[in-house]
Amino acid sequence: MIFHSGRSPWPWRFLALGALLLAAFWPLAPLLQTLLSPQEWASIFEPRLAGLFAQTLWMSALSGLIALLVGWPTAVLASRLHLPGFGWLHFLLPLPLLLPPLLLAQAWHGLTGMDGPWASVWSLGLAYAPLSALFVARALRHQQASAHESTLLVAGPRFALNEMFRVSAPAAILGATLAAVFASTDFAVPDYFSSLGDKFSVYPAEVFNHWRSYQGDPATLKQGAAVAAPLVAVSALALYAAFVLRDRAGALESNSSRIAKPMRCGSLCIPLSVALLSFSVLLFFLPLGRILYETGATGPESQGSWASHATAAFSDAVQRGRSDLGHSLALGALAGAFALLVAPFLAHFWLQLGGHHQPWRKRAARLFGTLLALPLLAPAVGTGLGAILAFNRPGWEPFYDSLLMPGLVLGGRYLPIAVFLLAERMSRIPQARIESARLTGMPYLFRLLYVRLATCRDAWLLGAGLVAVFAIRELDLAVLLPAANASAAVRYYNALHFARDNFVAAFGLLITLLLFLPVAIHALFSKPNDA
Amino acid sequence: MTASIHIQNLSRTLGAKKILDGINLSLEDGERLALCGPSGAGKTTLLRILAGLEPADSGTIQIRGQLATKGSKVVIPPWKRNLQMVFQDLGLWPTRTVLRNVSDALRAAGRSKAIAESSARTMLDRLGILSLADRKPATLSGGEARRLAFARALALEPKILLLDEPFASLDPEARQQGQLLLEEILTHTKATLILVTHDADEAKRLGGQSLNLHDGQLS
Repeated sequence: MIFHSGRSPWPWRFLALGALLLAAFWPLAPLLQTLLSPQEWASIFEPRLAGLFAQTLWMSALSGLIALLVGWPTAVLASRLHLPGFGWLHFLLPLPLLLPPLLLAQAWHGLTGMDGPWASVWSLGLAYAPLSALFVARALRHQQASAHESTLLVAGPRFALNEMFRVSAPAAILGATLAAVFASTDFAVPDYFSSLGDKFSVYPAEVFNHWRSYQGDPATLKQGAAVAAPLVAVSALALYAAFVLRDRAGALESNSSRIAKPMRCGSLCIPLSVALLSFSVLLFFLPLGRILYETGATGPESQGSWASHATAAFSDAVQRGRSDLGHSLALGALAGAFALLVAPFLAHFWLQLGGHHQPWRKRAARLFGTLLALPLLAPAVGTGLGAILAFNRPGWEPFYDSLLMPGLVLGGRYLPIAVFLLAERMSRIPQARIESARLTGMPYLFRLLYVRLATCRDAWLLGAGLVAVFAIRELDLAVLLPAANASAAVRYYNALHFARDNFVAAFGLLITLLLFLPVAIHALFSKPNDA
Repeated sequence: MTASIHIQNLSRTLGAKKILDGINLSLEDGERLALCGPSGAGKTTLLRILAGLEPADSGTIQIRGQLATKGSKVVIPPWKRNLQMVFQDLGLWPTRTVLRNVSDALRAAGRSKAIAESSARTMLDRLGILSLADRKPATLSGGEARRLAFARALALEPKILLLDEPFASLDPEARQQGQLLLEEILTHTKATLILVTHDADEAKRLGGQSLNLHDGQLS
């Protein structure tokens, strides 16, 4: 036999799926039960909850829209245009994603005094705009160089810009959908803005309230986890629609390794630079500037300069937060390692499922992708309650009380991000390279490791890194799980509620710096792979 | 009479290798040139510099009497050179249908919507792919995609046509059909043509002059 398929991939896939079930789906069991049980739905839609549900939907849709309107053009302008003085900007794109959303909320409140639901919409939209921007930047990075150059030959920069927006539209919409999903599951930011001014509530608050009223009866926790079901169902539908759009957009396979150079914009240079500067001010400079200012801001009565207060705040943050930062790093490392090990098998499986032209396989792949994303779509507080139900049982105490449990749950929750990134990158490996490896008779694991992952190392590490980053900045889930209480995010949350503004700002910047360092090092030293 | 393309002392170095070393070339309107040479000799680089997509290191390019490139300065941008290029990997626009790959190019170049669409249909019909008008490029065969790339380039009626190995990877029959089609179109449009090819027969069949690019020089 000339063609040799090697060992079956299925044992590895079952292992990966088993790990996913344990880490991500077991805590979701109460929620999934509700999704599948019609009589539970009826109780969820009593008028008060329905109103809360509608409010959360419009708020998250608007946050998604803001993420789209800010993230999409920012990514196009920063990553593909040659605008003098802005070469470094694409490097800063992920930065706001690393800032805890609560920190950004605090900065926007400090800057404008905003509060109430609109403040929450605005702040969460901008907090997740970089998600849309990152998806767009990655899509544009793979725009065929000759397709871009032919737009230049036909009609110049305006038309080339139009094509860039067209090519990146599905990625922008997918990113904005995820931004809306994240916004809909956030509890801390709406809670913060509600505590400052106009009182309002969102759906995840309902989940959180069940935890607050928990007095030892597991039924309360189960109800709390289950109440998030409608939100997850709507988010899943939105994500499925985004997958359909992405698949319909069509992509041209190319074996060319040439990447289009940043475009010179001629007479459009000044207006485009102004646009990019405006977006950058909104995304980075205003909130970061405000947070930096907060580190040394004082009341009218207090003594000492801004610098002395800021120095004291940073030294306080380092001193008090050191052990919490250590715990957060360990949590992030566990979640990242989980993603590093599991994501390749699931990404490859997902890709193979949809890699044929039969429509049913495309549909199956979209469905699998949506199922895979469920842990990400559930409010973190719901997952937290589910994790307590799943793992807080007699004989499991060493596991429940260790960092391993929250590390695993956080790794499972954010795993879809790593899988999506890796699958997108793997889909661009020329088929001939994979087939020639199969012809050599190389077993599945070696092919995955030496052909696919060796080519996609960049996306593999980026995905695991993002999972680690999201795990470190996760607040809602960390508040609920005792083993994750000693984390930087929880200390930050507590300090914010005790109005220790200088400490909060300094500690927030420390967390951000800590998260940004690996991203910065990755960005500085990574080279675009071929394929 | 002003030359359609006039290249003087054009040089380009990539890394440590001198890809083009003092190239001189002059082509009249409607003239055809087949550019041969081994892989990596700089044929594509020459076309790209001519199109204004890349700067040179030194030397000048004049297009119909106007200075288009002077050393590292691209004086006339690509979209104002009235030339089109069919790339080796075609450069089709993946999110647009076959029809819109052509009609949108015409609209972007200033034609009205109605004229752009009817001209696009005429061109697709001439190239035998009108029946594929509603398909996306990713669903086309290699030959069909190549025809679409030709259709888009020719619909704009360029004065200069640059073809970078347009018939590579086609089977002999499709290659012959493509060459006949090109001949017919050139007779009709009288465009100046530079064709990059590895195929000596193809170069001969073109009927114009044939030059070899080797060690950065034309012979």
